[in-house]
Amino acid sequence: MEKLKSSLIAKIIAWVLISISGFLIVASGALGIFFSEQGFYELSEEEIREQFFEKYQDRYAAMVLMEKDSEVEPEFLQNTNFRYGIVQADTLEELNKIDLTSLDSYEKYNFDEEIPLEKTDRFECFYTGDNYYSEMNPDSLWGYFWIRDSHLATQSSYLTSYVYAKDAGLLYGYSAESYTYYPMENVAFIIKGLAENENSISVEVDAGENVSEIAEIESAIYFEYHYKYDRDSQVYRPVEGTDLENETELQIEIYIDGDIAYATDVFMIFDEIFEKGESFFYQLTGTSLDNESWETGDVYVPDGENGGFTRYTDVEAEEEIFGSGMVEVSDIMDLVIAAYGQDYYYEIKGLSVNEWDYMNGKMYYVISYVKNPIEYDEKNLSESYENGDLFVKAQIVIDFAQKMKYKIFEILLSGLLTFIVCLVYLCIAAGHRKGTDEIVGTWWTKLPLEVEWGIFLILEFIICFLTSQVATGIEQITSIFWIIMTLILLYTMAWIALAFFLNFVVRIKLGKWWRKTIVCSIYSWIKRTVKKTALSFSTNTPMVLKLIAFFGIVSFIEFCGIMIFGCDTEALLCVWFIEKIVLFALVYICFLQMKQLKEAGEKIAQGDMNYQVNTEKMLFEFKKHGENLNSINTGMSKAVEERMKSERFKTELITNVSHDIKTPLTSIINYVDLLEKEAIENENVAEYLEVLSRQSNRLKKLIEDLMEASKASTGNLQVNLEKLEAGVFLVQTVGEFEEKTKASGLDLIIKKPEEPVYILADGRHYWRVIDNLMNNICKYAQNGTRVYINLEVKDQKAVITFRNTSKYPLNISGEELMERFVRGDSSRNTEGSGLGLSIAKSLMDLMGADFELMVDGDLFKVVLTFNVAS
Amino acid sequence: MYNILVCDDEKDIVSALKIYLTADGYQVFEAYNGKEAIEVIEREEIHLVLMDVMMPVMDGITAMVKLRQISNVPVILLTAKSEDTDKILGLTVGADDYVTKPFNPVEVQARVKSQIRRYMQLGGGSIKQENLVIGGIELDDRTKEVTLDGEKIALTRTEYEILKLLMEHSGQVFSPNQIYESVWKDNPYGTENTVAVHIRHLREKVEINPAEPRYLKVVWGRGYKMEGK
Repeated sequence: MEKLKSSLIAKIIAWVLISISGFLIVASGALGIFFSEQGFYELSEEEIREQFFEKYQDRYAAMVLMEKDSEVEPEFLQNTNFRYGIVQADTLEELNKIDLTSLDSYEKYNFDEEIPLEKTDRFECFYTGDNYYSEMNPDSLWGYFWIRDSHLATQSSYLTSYVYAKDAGLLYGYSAESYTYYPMENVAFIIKGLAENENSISVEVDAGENVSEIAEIESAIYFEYHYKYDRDSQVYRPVEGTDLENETELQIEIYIDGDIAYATDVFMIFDEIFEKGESFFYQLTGTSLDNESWETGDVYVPDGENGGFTRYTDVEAEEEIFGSGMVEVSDIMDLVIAAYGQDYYYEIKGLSVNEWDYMNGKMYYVISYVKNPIEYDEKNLSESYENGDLFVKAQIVIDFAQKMKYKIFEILLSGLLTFIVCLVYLCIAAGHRKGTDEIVGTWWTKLPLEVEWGIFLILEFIICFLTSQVATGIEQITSIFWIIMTLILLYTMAWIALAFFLNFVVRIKLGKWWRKTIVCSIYSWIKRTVKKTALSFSTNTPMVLKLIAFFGIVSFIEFCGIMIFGCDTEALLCVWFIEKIVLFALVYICFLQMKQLKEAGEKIAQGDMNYQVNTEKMLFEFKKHGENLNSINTGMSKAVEERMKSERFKTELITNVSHDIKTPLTSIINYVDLLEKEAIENENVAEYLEVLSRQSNRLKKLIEDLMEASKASTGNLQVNLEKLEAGVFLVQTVGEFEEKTKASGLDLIIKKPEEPVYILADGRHYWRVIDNLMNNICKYAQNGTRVYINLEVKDQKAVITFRNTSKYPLNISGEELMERFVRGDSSRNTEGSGLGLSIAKSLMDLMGADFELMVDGDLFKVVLTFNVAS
Repeated sequence: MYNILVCDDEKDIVSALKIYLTADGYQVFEAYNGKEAIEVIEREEIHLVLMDVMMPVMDGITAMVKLRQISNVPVILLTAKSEDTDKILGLTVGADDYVTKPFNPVEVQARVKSQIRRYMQLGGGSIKQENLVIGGIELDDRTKEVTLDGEKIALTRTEYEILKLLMEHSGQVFSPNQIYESVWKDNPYGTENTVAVHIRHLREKVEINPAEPRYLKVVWGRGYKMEGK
């Protein structure tokens, strides 16, 4: 399959096949249409033959009639099957009285046997001796003929212009074909028109002396004036039944005053026009007696004898013939049209000129039949067709049609099938080339589509023009050369069309064919520009301006709506309703996005550093705001991370420094101890040593507390929360500090509920807290006072309260006491680091419990609050 | 006459320790890093090692690992690091005890004495089978005598009963109430404090450093238990 797609030979074969099948389709289709038009599918063979033969009998009949007076037998009559006889009769009744079986009845004939009257055809013609036979392609079945008269135009349509001869009182029609002015016997003036609006025109027609309104114009006007020439009085008279019935006489008077023509009387309408719009009148051209404006030609002039006419040939000086007053009627009529507006038009009918008896013709009938049977040499068809008369030719065509009339359908069908298969194959194979799997475009596909199609149309137009030129040649010169030429040109047209079609298929296969069009480029350019403008508007314009712009647009649309539908309340309401819906949707979207932003703000305020607003679908400023929130969050979490890092670093630093300090401190403590053990007589030395010993121990404690504090405050400690019994804790505390409190003269009083109270805490950290507190109490409580430790459950919380009386006045708040290195005694000379409460607070925080410190005069109170474990 | 190896990169500390230990009648060998310590141990007959953790050339932990391959001599680690994780690391690689810097010389002397006694006595195999033994504590229920590292400790009757209860159920946590009920055979109405005070006293008698007990441990918020290596 792939091979077939890219095979050049297969493509050539497909092209050839498509050409042949195309020809077959066209030929068989044309034949089919021809057959059905001729009635081959409806009529019997006999009827068709009759129909054909009748046509050619008429043609031959016309020919023999026109040659009636010549002595020589016409050439076409030799070796023909046409049998005829010419007989004169004025009417058909008269003809029926004549005995047509008798050869004597005929003025001329070529009957050579008994006349089969029932088979004959009758052709009638008014023969004047002046008329002649004219034909196209006499030898061809498809030729045609007509009978012409050298004197008369038989139809008014042959007349190109009308002239009114004032002196003669005659209207002439000019035939450009015969260069003759024919006098008009029947004349009808018809003026039709459509008024521009209802109140534009009311026409009053002046009928003689009486002014009467003939037609009130409403939406249309229609005047019809019919006149017939009265030969006796040599004037036109209105025909009965027309609007001007009451007119006695037709007076067409046209004055020529210089270049200006005036018409009166029957052209009453004209009068009015002339009165109303002289300016139009001045535009009347071709109305003077200037010879140049009149065609030279023959003219019939009344000779005054019984209404007879004399024909003058090549009249140049019309003045002599027509008299001094004449005017081209159509120009006047044009003027009417000009005055009334372009919606008016007119018709002038000059009728029945041929009825006038200046013609000396007679009616003739040609009786004819075709000798049967028509025979021809079937083996040598083309020669017999060429040499045969029209009947032989027709018989050949009929026989061919009978043979082919159903066969053509088979041809048509197979042709169509082949055509479709080839076309589909070519479409599939389009763009495939040998040696590559990709679709290969031609240089045509690189051009914009419109250019390609422009070239295509121009090519087709040129060939079409050439074809039409060549095809006209076929009619006149039936040459095989011309036919071939035409065929080749038609084929070229079809091939070009196919090639361009396949090229388009390649474009489609290459994908996005519309991208390579000028329209698309212009569109995308406009889109880009608009986008750029919109972007620059949205980024560089202050919010207020944007709001004004938005408000302005909405107002403008509303204004337009009011302007358009202002009168129509229902439509206005409808527009108003739609606008509200659209506005609601817009406001709703804004509201939703606001809500999203609000939620994001709340999350961030709560410290959710990982929350990100989805700004993808947000509009304008909301999007910007959302992005800002996101970047705030990113910045915040970054800052927090930095801070954590620096805290960790600090802790590490403190730990390392502490370690380093510990080693020299060990030596100091040890050697002080050793010194103390020496026998020293000097009392001062002993005293100094005691100070060294005390201070070095204090330093030791300080360092340990410092490490603890830094770890606890940065959360660098592991916390294992367990279910502990608070009561047991208190008991253990008492046990641990029994001696110390006794030494300080303190009385420990513990109060706790009967039932065990369980709390969630890390035992060792909790011990550290209690240890610090109790050490504090032992150090700073007034000797001989009581220390109260209470445990109670309040609102699902276990509250442990330590209360004692301070030894020193506490002029410092509870919060300050919890700061690092702050101690209640200003002297700072007792042992302790000042970190105990701070550490306790940090550890409590780590365990998720509350640590509260209150100072009330000398009362020192610490409250620990734990969550009760279930 | 026992031989003790003191190993620390700080010469002053080594000297100070030498003074204290010599005063107690030990012969002291000196080393200034882990490598030297291993060499000394290979060369001499050492009965106890006091070793710093952070030292140049070879640190204490690495030296511990090497040392354990050649000897089961008791080792007390001297460490500036007071974190639990450091202590646990030291004990898992084979140390018998640890002392955090800055240390109290008296405590070091006590621990050294304790370790040497245990080391030597365990080697002697003088423990009677019916006696309760946890670490260095030995309880003889027939004579109602308690010895710590071979030395007799004077306990009151209540203290003795509490210690016996905890030692009999080594590792088990007893709440003050439970202890009271089983020792006093009475209901503890408001008298649990007594147990805590007794335990405190007991701890001061059996522990070298009651703040950091090795055997009688306080389980905060739950009670007390005996725990030995």
